[in-house]
Amino acid sequence: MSQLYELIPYIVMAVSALASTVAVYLAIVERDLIKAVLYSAIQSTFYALLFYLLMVPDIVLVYVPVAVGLLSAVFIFAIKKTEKYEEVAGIPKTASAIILVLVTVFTLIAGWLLIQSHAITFEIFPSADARALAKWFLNTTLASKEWWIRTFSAMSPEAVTAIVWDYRGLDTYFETSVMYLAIIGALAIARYFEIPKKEYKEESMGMSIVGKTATKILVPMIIVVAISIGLHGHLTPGGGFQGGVTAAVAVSLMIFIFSVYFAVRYFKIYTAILLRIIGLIGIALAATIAILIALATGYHGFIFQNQPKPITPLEVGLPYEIGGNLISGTLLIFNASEFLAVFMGFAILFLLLSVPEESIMEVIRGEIE
Amino acid sequence: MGLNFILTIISYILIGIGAFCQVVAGIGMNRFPNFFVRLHAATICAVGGSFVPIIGCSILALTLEEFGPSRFFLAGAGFVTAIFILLLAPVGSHLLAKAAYFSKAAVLHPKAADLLEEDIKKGEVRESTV
Amino acid sequence: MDARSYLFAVTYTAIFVNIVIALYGIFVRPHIMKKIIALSIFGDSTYVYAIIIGFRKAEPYPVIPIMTTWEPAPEYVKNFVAKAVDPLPPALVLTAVVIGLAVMLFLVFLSIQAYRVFGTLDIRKIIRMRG
Repeated sequence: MSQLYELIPYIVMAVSALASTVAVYLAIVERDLIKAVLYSAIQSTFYALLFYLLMVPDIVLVYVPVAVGLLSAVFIFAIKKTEKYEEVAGIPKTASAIILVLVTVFTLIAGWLLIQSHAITFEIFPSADARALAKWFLNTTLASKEWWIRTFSAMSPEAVTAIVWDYRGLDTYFETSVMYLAIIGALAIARYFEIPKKEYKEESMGMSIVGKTATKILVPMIIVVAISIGLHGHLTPGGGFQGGVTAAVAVSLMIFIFSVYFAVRYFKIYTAILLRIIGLIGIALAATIAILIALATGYHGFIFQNQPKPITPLEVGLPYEIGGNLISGTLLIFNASEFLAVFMGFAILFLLLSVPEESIMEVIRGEIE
Repeated sequence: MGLNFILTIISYILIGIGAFCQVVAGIGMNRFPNFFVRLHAATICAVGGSFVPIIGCSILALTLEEFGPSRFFLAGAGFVTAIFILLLAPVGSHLLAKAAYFSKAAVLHPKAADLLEEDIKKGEVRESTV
Repeated sequence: MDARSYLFAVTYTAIFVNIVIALYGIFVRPHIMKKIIALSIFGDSTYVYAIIIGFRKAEPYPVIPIMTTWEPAPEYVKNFVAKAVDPLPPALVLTAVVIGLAVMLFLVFLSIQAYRVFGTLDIRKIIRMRG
C-alpha cells in the first residue's frame, strides 16, 4: 500500500503528459482557430501541473499567467482582427506524410547526438546524485557562519532567484535587452497609433454589470498580489518576472471587461513607456552600484556584485539584512525594477494590440494612396 | 473522540462530495443536448468540484500536527482561494451565456420558450452585443 | 524496470511526441496564426525537457531548491543538498518563458500588419501574390 502511495506523483505526471499530447494533437489539427487556442490553453494547464510535480514552483508562477492567460488573450485579439478559419483544402497528402517522417527522424537523431555528447545523461530514471555545479549552488546560496562560503554566497535562501540575478546575472541582463528589442520592434510596427479619445460611456461599452462589478473588486487585488510576489522574490518562489506577468493580467482583464477607452484613463501609452524606462534604469543602477561606490571610496568593485567579496581587504558590497530582515543586497532592487519593467512592457503591448481597426485602416489607406 | 478525528471525517466527506460532483458534471457535459444546459454542468464542476474539495483540504490541513505552525498558513490560503472561486465562477458562467446568446454562436435546438427574445421584441431589454 | 522508471519513460515519450506534432504543425499547416501557435507549443515542450534534466531521485520525493530557515544549521544544509532538485534549469527556463512571450507578441504584430497589407494570412496565397 505504501508502494502505491509513493508512486502517486509519478502516475499523475504520466497522466498529465499523455493528456497534454491529446490536447496538442487536437490543437494542430483543428480548423477553427479559436478552438485551437483553447486546446493550446488546455495543454498549458497540463504542463503547469507537470512543472509543479517536477518541483520547480518558480516556473509554475510564471508559466500559468503567461501561457494560459496572456498568450491566449493575445491570440484571440489577433484572430479577431484577422481571419477565423484555416483553409486546409489543398495540402498535398504525400508531402505532409514525408515531412512528418523527416521530423521524427530529425528529432530522434538530435536526441541521440545529445546523449552521445554527454550533454545530457539519460538513464531512464534520474540518478540520486546531483551535478557538482548544482551542489555548489545549493551549498553556497545562504551562508552560515563560515567565512569561506561568505566569499561566494548570495545570502538568499531562494537558490533560483540567486542564480537568476547574482550567479548568472549577465544572462538575465542580456535577456532583458532581448525583450526590450522585441518591444521596440512592436512599437515601430504600430507606429505610435493613438487610441482615439472617445468618451467612456458606462452603460453601452464593455460587458454586463455583473462582470464589471466583479472586475472592480478583482483588479486591485491582482495588482497587490503581483507586487507581493515581486518583492518577496529572494525569500519565497517569486521575483520580478513572476510579479510582472501577473500584474499584466490585470491590464488585459481591464481591456476585455471594460473597454479600451476605460483602460486608457489609467494606462496611457507614453506613461507606460516612461515607467518601463525607469525600471530599466533601476536594473542598470543595481548592476553597477558596487562599482560606483568603489570609484567613490577608492576600494575594489565588480559589476553585478552583490555581497562584499573579501579577496583583497576592505571590499565594498551591499548589506544582506536590514534590522534583522533579509534583503539579500541587490536582489531586492533587481526584483522591484524588473517587476516594473515587465509589467509596463506588457501593458504597452496590450494597449497597442487593442487599438480599433478603423483608425488604423484610415492611416494605412492614407499612406498607400 | 478528539476534535481532530471529527475534522478528518468531515474533510473526507467533503472531498468525496467533490469527486462525485466532478464525475456527474463530466457525464452531464457529454449527454446534454444544448450549450446552455451544458453550462449548468460546467458550473457544477466549478463550484461543487472545486470549492467544496478545497474547503475539505483546508480543514484536513488544520488537523495535521506534524506541519507545525505552517498548517494555519496552508488552511488560510485554502479558504481564501475557495471563497474567490465561489464568488467568481458564476460571473464566468454569466459572461459565457451572454456572449453565446448574443453572438448567435449557440444553437437553441430543443427549445421550449425563449423569453429573452420576446422581451427584446417588446423593447424592454436593449439588444446588446456584449 | 521498476514502476517509477516505466512511468517516467511514459512522461518523456509523451513530450517527445508533442515536439514532433508541433514541428509538423509549423511546417505543414498554411495559416500563419496556426504556425505561431505551434511554435509556442514547441518552445514549451523544450522547457519541460530542460527541467526533467534537473530532476532527481530522492527517497520519499525530492524537495524544492528553497531553504525554509534563515539560519541553516550544517545538518540542515547537508540534508538539503542531498534531496533538493537542481536549481539551475528553472533559472534558465524562467527568463526564457517571459522573453518567449515578448517575441511571440512581436510575431503577432508582424502577422497582423501582413494581414492589413496582403488581405489574407494563408501562406500559399501570399506566395502567389508576391507583395
